[in-house]
Amino acid sequence: MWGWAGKILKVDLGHGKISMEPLSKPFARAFLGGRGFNAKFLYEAKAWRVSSPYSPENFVVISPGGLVGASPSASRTIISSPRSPANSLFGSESIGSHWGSELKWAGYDMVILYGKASKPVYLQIEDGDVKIRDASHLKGKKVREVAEILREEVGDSKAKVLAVGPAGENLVASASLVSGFRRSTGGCGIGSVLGSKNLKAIIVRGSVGVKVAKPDELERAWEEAYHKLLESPLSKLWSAYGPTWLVKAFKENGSLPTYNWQQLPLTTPERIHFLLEKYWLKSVACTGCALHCDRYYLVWEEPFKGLRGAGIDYDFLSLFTSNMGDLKPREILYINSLLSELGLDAAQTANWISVMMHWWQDGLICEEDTDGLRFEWGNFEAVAETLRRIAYREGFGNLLAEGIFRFAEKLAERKGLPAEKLKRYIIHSRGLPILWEVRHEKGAALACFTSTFNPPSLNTELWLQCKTPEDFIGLPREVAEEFLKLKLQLPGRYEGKAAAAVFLEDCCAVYDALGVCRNHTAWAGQPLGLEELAKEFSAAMGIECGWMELKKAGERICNVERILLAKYGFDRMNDYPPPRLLEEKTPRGALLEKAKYDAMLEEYYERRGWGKNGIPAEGKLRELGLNELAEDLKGGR
Amino acid sequence: MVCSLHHEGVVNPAKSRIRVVGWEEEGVYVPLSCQQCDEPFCEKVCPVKATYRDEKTRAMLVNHDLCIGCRSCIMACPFEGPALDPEAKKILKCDLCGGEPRCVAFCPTSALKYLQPTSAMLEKKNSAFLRRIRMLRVKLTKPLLVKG
Repeated sequence: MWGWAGKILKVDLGHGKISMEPLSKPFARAFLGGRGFNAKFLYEAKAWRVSSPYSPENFVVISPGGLVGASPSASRTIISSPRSPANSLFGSESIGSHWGSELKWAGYDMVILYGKASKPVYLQIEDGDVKIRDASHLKGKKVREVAEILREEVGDSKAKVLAVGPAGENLVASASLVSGFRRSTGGCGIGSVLGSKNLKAIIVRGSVGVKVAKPDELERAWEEAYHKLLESPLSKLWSAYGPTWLVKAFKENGSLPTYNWQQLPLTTPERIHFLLEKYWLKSVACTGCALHCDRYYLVWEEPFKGLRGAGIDYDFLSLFTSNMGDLKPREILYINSLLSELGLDAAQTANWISVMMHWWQDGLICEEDTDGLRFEWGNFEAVAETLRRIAYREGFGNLLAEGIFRFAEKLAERKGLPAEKLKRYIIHSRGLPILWEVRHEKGAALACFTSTFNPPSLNTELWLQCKTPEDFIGLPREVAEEFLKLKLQLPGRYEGKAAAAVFLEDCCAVYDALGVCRNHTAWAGQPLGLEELAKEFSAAMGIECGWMELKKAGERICNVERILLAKYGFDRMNDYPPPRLLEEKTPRGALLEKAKYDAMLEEYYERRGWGKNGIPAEGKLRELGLNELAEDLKGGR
Repeated sequence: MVCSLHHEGVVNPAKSRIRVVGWEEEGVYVPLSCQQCDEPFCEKVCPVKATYRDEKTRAMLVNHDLCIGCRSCIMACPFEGPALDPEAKKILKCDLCGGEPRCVAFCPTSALKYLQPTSAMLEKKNSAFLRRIRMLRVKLTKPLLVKG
C-alpha cells in the first residue's frame, strides 16, 4: 500500500492483548485517514450504544491523517471516542506536533484502545514491537515529567510521547492529551477517557517510514506547495508573530470574544505582540511545517522567573486573554505552562472560568460557592487556583471538573434559582467552546453551529477584499466565481452563506482527514487548497484524484458524522446558537436574527441534500456510496 | 523528510542523510550531517577504499558496490556524518544532491544554507558579531537576565 501505512493496531488494555489488522484499501480511499477513518469506525462500532465515558466498553481511536508523514503540511492526528466526557456525544479532537508522524512512520494508520487496565500502564510502540508496560511510577506525575522519565526508560531521546496529566487521571471533563510539553488536544475531554482506562501515556518511535507511489512527482508537488505557502503574506505573519497576530486582527474586526461574549473593550491584545517579543526564545514547528507558528518562551522576571514552555495557540489566547478580561502577559504564559503540565484543555477550561466570572459580575455566585476565591474579571490568582483545584478535584473544583453545565445545575439547586438562568451564560456549540464572535459574521455562525467537528468555525470575512476570482486564495476557480456571484464577502449578509459553509466544511473534513494543518489551507486564507492537496495525494497514494473527488470524500465524512449525531438523538433543534447570541446585541450592534438564521439553515440543508430535520436523505447517502448507512437509516434512527 | 524521499523514494527520517538532534524541553535543535572534511576520517579507515571524493561537488561519496558494511566510517566520524540504513544495511551519507541540496531548498528559515567555505565562514563571523551586539543590548535593557 502506498501513502498509507497499511496497518491498524488494536490494543485490549483489559486483557493486555495486542493485535494488528491490515487496512482495507477501499475504506482508506473513501475516507482518506484521520477524521474520516474515525467517523466511519465509530459508526461501524455502533458508538451510540456506549453508555458512559468512563465505562470499559468506551474506546478511543487515534488516527494520523492520510498524508501525515508523507507531506510537509500534514502533521495532525485525530483522536475520537464514542462518549466524550465534555458533552456525552461522540468527540473528536486533533493534535499537531511530531507524535502523529512518528506513529505513521512506525507503520500504523489507526490505533484503537479498548478495555480498562487493572493498574496504571503505558503503551510503547516501536515499529512492529508494541508493549503494554507498567506505569505505577508515573501515577500523578505531570506531563513534562512523564515525557522525561519515559524517554529515559526506553533509552531514546527522540521518542515522541503523548501523555495524560493529573487532570486526565482525576477524570476531569476537560482533560486533554499533551504531546511533549507543547501541543494538546481539543475540548472533548478524551484525556480523562484514557485516564479511566489507566493508560498514562503512549510513547512512539518509528523507522519503517511511508512508502509513496511516485516519489519524483511527490517531491515536485511538495516544492510547488511549499513555495506558494512561503510567498503568501499571511505565512509571514504566522512565522513572525505566531498566533498573536490573529488575536490582534480579530480584535480590530470585532471577532475576538471578550468578557464572556459581552464584547466590552479591553487592552490585552495590544500587548500581545510585546509579550512574544519580550519572552520568546525560539520559534518551533510541527513535523515538516514551514510556518513554525509556535514559540518557546522563557520568563526572566519575578514572580515567574525561569518559567519555560511552548504551545501557545489561538484557542488559548482568545479565550484566556480576552474572554477573561485583562490578564498580564507573563500571567498568560504561566497559565499556559500550568495547563500543559496538568493536561487540561485550554479552550474548554477557559470557557468554564469565564462563565464563572460572568456569574460573579452579575452577583449569581459569591465567595461561599468558590471557597473564598474572588472571580473578578482578570483575577489571575483565582484563575490559577481554579485550574489547580479542577485538576486535583479539590473543593469547588471537584464539581466544576464535571463540566460547567453540571456545576450550573448544582448551583441553581443550592441557590433556588432556575438552572436555565445560569446556563444562559454559557456560549457553546453542542457543549464545546466556540472560539470567536459570530454575531456579526453570519456564515461563521452557521458553520459554527452545524459543523460536525470540533472546533467548529468558518471565516468568510477573509474574502472581504476579493474583487476577482483570483483574489480568492486557495479556492478552485469555479468555486471562486460562484462565491463572487453570491457576494458572500459581506459579513452581515445571510444570503449565500450556506454555500460557503457547505464548501468549507467539506474542505475542512478533507484537511482533517489528510491531517493537513488548517493554518496552511484556504480555510485560513492560505494558498494550500484542494487542488494542491489532490496533487500530493495522487503522487503519494498512486491514486489519480482531482479536487472534486477529494471534496466528495469530505462530504462523505461530514455525512457519516451527521448520521452519527442523528443516532445520538441530535437533529435540527441542536443546530441553533445559544439564546444569548440570538437576543443580546454586540456593542457594534450585531445580532443573529432567528428568522433569518432559520432561512439560512433551510438553505444549508437543501444544499447538503438533507431533510428538513437536518438528517441526510437516502438519495444523498447513496450518491456518496454510503449504501449501508442509507439502509440503516430506513429502519429509523 | 525530503532527503529520504529524494534519495530512497520513501518518506522516512530514519533513512535521512541529515539528522536533527533536539532537546525539546530546552528548545534546542542541531542538524547533523557530513562536513565533507578536507582530510576525511571515513576515507582513511575504509578497508576497501569505497569512500571517494566527487570531482564536481567535492562531496565524499560511498561506492556501494565496494562497501562491505563494516561501519568503520560511522565509528570514525566525529560529526555523526555517515549512518546505517536500518533496512538495506548500507551506509547513508550526504552527497550534496549533486550540488543542489534538497534540505536547503525546503528550509523555511534558512537555518540550512549551501555556501562556499569562505562565504560560510564570513557569515558565521557576521552572525557571531550580531549575537554579541544583541547580548550587549540585552544587558542594558534587561538587567534581570544577567546573573551576578
